[in-house]
Amino acid sequence: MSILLRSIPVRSLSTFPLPPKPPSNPNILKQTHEQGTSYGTIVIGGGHAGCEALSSSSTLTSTLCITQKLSQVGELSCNPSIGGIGKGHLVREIDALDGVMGKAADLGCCHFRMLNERKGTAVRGPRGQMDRDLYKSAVQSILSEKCNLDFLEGAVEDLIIDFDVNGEKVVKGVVTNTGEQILADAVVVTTGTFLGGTLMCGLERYSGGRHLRDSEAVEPPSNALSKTFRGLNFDVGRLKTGTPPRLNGDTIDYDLLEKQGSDSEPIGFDHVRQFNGLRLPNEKDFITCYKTATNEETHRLCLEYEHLLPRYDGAEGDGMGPRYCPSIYKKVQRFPERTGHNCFLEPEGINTNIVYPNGMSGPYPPEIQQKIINSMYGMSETEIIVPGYDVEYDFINPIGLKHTLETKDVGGLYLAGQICGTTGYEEAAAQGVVAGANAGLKSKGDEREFIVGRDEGYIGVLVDDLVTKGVTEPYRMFTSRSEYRLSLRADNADLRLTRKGVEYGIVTDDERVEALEERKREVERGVEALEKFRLFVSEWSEKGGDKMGGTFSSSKKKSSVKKSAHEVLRMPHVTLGDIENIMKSEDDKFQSVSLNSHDTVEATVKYSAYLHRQEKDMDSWRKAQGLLIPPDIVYDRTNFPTLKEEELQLLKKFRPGTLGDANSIQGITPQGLVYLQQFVRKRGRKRDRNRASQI
Amino acid sequence: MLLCAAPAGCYSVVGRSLQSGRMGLVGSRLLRLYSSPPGLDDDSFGEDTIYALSTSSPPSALAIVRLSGPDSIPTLQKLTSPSFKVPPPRKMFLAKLFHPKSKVPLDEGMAVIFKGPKSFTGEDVVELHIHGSRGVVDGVIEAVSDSGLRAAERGEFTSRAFQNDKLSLLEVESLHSLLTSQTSTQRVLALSTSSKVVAIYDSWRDVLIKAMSHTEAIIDFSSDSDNTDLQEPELIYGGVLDSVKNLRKTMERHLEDGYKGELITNGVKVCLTGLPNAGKSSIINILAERDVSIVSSTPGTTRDVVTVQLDLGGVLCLVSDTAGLREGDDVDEVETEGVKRALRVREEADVVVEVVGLDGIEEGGDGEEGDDIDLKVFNKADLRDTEGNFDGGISISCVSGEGVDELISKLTKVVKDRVGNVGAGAGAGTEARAGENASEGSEDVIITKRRHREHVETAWEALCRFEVLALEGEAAVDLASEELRVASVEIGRIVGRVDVEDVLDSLFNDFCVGK
Repeated sequence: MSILLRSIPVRSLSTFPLPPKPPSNPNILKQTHEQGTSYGTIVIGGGHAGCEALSSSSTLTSTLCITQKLSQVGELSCNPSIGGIGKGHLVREIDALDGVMGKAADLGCCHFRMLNERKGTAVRGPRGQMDRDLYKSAVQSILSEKCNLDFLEGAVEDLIIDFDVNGEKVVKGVVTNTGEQILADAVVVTTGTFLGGTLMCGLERYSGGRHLRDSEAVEPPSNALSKTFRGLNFDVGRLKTGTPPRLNGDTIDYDLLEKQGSDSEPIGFDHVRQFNGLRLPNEKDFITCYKTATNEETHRLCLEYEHLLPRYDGAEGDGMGPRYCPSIYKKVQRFPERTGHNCFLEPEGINTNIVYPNGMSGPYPPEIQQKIINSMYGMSETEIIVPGYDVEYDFINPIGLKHTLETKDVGGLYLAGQICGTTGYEEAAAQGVVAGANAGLKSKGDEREFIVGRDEGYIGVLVDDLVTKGVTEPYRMFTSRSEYRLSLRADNADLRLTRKGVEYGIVTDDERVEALEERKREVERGVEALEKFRLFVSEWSEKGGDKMGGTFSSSKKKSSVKKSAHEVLRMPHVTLGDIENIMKSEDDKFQSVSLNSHDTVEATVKYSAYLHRQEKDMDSWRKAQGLLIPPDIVYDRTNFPTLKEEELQLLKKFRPGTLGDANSIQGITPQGLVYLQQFVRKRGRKRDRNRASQI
Repeated sequence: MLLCAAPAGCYSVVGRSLQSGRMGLVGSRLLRLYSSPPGLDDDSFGEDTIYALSTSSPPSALAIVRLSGPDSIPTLQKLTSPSFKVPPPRKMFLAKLFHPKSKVPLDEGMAVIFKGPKSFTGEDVVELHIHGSRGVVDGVIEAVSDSGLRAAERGEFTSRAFQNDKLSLLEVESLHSLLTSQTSTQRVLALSTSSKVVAIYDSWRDVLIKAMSHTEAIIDFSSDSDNTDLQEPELIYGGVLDSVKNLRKTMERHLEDGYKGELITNGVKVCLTGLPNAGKSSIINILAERDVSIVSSTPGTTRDVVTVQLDLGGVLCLVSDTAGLREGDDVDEVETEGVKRALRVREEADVVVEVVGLDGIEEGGDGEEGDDIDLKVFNKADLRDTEGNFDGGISISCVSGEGVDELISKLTKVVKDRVGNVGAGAGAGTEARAGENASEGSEDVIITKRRHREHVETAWEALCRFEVLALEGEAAVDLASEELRVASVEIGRIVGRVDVEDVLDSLFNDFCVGK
């Protein structure tokens, strides 16, 4: 995409308070919790889910963050990058809801690429390489500026559970490792890989949630909390994930390797920054990535030392890891015919020689990892600084959650992130926004629920998939998971979600709203200009070549017909840039659409026919969603004499929230659905009648 | 429970109601159920009023047009004169019907009203009992429609009854089976729909899902790992292009099956045509084994269209006797209208049988020419001293009964040829490999309902667009895979791999309108 920066007056840079070279262990967050203080919401954990939960909850209610190490808040535990295909959509949506991740990613960005650039707008994925220190500092600075937000360094040993007037379990607060009881109306648990975490390297297994990046120490797991969840009869399972070794970049022979540079016009994530026409702050220091590959020798080593790989708890010793982010061993095992797998070498920041070899996770013993790395091209001398390792941890099957991410069994208890069985920073952060917002609303006594629909965003797709289908392997976002992909794009996240955020009180930044309104106007103006600009088909093909005349140029009669720029742009191969060049040549005063709205205008026109159809699909989806099933229905023979036994079991297990959910359960027949629907409807009427007679 | 006299009656209306938007009605009503405030009259959630012809398609002796919904009684008032007093419920009254705007008189019939909830649907219902000629029925239906009422969706009366607790689901289901399976071929079709055809549609869907997994991988993974340049369609789509193209062709073949499946479900329309006094009415009486049409030696006796239902070799047929075709000064206005109708019926017919009276052959020549004629019958063989067959036709005598068996067997053959080889052969096996080139002729009829045809057509269109978009290479991979998604959703809707609204809709879609 060739993009010009909008010449808008540069506002103050004061929103970017970062020091140019932060210390690697920032001391931005201070412990502010005073014993005896109670809160609206307590968030356990300071990872990506935790940070977003803190941010959205603290805009609504007093919020406390409890985490083992304040200096680790916002740490990128694995890959030094944010975004990607599908994941980039999530980051944009988080930002549209005034979350932390998009802003921090722009501040920490040291290399940016728009993935799928040559494919259609809807499937493009913004992806930024992060400087780990800059990213973490940015997250911490953003959180440190929040009012209503306290911090406590410590571990949570237990939840305080009580019963409400209906005899239902509700959470009342937490007990810390010092024995302090802290009360709260809502608790958000974002324990990541720490819940019952076991680290593995080779055949060694040791208790821990994560290795510290800059020391040999291991952060301890939350085993007590794991016990709490098992005690509460949650459906707890084990998942695993892994991280590759970190390399000394000074020992890589870059001259032999293919470079992968950054986009020349990096776009970033933060809507407000884009609106202000500001470039990414570190652009002049952007780094270069390199590409190498495994070879037959690498694969031979992987198979030769397979017996030294860890044994896991899950999947009968194999461990249940992310299928879409397999270890190098899994790749070799699954694709024996391949003679090489790509490996991107990603520097971990601007002022560091540490390099992350993407795709090379594999928890062999350190000396074997060293052999494997040295077998690769350009890396015969490469040193491993920190070996890679795997972690296996507890997750709670999200089938037991509502769309608010509140657990169905314990009122006020919310889960977000890897504890719900997802993988990836972005997936975790997206859940953090939802859980934090709902926790905040609940403690405020606001009865509304903040639920993003499948028709509104990938956040909605993610949450809906989790709570209706459950998880058997780590869940990662893809664009193909959304049935409304052409409508839910990275370029229009603000148009889809910011207003909703305002409505629920989690977006309070006036500048963000102003940016939204301006963009709306600009997109409208841009589309209108394309509708008004008309040329004869013959002129279109004269100026733009055959591809603009389309099939019409072939016929003499048709070429005397006028076509609008809007119509021409709807042809699949024509780009908005092509059209604007012609419009400029016809009219000196014509101003092309700004970078900020370019993609939205292009997509609005290009997809117009499809968007119309998707809107109809969405309508039908919304209607089905409207058929709510009260959560307290008892699925037994008395209520449902006609349902099959297996259907009753399924309904008991999944407890669907809507008829739509019930329909997505495999094994529920159409007849079963109709009976369920009728039962719900009759019950509603009976209740209405009773209420009416009481009045 | 009111059931229509003959299920055949709904067929002509089905098409119309389908075109007027199939989806969403049941769903939107369900939605209202949940948002209706307490205290509101529970039984009045259908805010619009619907109508349908509840008896078999004209002509018939009598016809009943049924209205249901809050506006049904006001509409009755509109259709009658201002002096007409709306009768008390459940009492039949004489009602002179007029068009509400033009005030043209339509018919002198009877009307009865049922006040909700004591009615079939639970809503206010009006039944107009009118004369069953096509003109009257069309006129009344037009007038009802012009009064602002909406044609009922298929099964909507039943659906409303169900919504209003007037029917349990079991009753709905038994009503359904009561209304289906008239002839042996229909039963075969119904049986094959349950397993074989579903397997075929599922195999189509598998092809689409495989193709989608390929394009989705290009979208979601190609940038991640192997950054190969994907400019050429072949590189992007690989074998997907071929398998989709083959599936598209398979769909085409099924779409071009001459509507065989629908013919079986709806009945094959057979039209008797010919010059006046050729003996068409005598033939229909013989076929029906009863006097359904007035027979006289006067040319031009038959004015209106008379239709009978026959089971020919297990295939449901609707045989129509029509007015003889002639024009001239001695043809009066009524007969001219009859000729017009005869031509219309002939046009809509699936099988046209020309009847030539052998007594008139000297004057009339060889009868009427037309390339739509499927079977030629030389009638009144008793009046002529000629032996054998005439020019590939059958010579019969309605008086002596000579040739009648041959007529029936020939007509049966024509009709059977028309609906093809339903349920026979090992089609499913061939179809399971939809990606390959299934040979023509060995395929079963699988499109048995109009709804299925519409879904297959939409899917087919999407695949056509896919093939065009695929040529654009990488740049249009987003749109191309959207087309695959549309196609797979459409096929999924046929077999019920669908969302909840469609499930409920499809349940009621299997009913005739007006039941």
